[in-house]
Amino acid sequence: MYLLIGNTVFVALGATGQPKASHFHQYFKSLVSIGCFCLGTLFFNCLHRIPTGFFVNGPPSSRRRWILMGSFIIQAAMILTSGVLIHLDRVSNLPFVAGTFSSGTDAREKAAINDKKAVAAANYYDLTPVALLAFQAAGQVAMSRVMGVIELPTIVLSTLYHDFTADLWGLPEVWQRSSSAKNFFSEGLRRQGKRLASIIALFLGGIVGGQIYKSSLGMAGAIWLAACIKGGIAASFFWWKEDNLEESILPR
Amino acid sequence: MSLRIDFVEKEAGGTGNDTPALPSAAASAVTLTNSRRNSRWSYNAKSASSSREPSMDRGSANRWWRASMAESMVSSAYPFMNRSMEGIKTSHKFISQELDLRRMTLVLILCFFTSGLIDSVAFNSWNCFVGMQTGMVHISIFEPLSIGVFRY
Repeated sequence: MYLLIGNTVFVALGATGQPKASHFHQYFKSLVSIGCFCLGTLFFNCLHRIPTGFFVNGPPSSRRRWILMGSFIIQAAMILTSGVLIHLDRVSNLPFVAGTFSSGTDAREKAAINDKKAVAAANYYDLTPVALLAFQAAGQVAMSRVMGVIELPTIVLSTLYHDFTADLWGLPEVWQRSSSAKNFFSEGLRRQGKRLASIIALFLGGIVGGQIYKSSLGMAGAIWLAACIKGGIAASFFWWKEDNLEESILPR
Repeated sequence: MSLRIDFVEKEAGGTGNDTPALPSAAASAVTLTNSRRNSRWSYNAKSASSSREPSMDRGSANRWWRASMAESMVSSAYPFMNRSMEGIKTSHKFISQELDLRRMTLVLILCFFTSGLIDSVAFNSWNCFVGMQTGMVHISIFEPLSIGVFRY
């Protein structure tokens, strides 16, 4: 049903009041998500371009230690903030109910929803974690762009699926060029392997998130786990090896 | 007084005769002391300092004195200051390093995992994507469970 539908289509439909089954302000969430994603893109690109300047065709954006650490600390802090909001029942953290804006939080509303007798009142504070999480999601994409790994934009999968599938046509040539089968799998398929690993990682993330959601940890548990991963990445950048700039000249 | 000045002049001239380049600091000290005949101590101090630091005028001597005093104060009264300044310099160098790209793919894959985690729960609760602006994969996780088999 929602196949191939993104936030933009949600907004486009919601502006015309189209999905009759959904709440008439449901598209506010998608709108806030897109807007905050764009704001986050501005912010994180600003962060990455501070040392090298804001030129269009200028020197490549920096991936300095303090920038990457700061970026990931900010992302983890935003995830933590939304996790606190969810944990303290300030925003709705129950499974989505069709036709409502917010699915409610506390036990009474939960019982009411389970009985299908009443629906929770619209809680417009739900837009806050949407905004925070969309803002921090831009940091990942900015980092993937800064690192020159164009083939892995961490959240947009359409291009990833396209590139992975389109590059299957190049496999015979890669097979002919590689000197041995080992070389074929280790060097020739490295890019494809990265793409496949990313898709599988996102899929696994979805499965783990769904399982945590169903468990007693609830929605906040998945958010805590995400914040821990982001904080762990920020900490790992502290011990990250320095790049020898003369050796690694990568295409951007 | 005049005898002393003569002695200094003679000494300076003697060194000048021995070596081809006359030390200019000694000559300047002599002219200074000649202008101030009434102060004996200043003469001695000038000649002593000029023999130690040949190219030092009054301004640079003030600066040198202040710097050495500050250094001694720092090293005596604030023993951590020197070390902490060095630490600030080295840590600034440390945090400004460009990081290696070789293991960054792992970070990106972890980011994928995180965005999958966040987006799945966000879509489950709020019916809205927060990371993926074009949603595709979560559909296959959640929707086939809710759509009936014989829908179409």
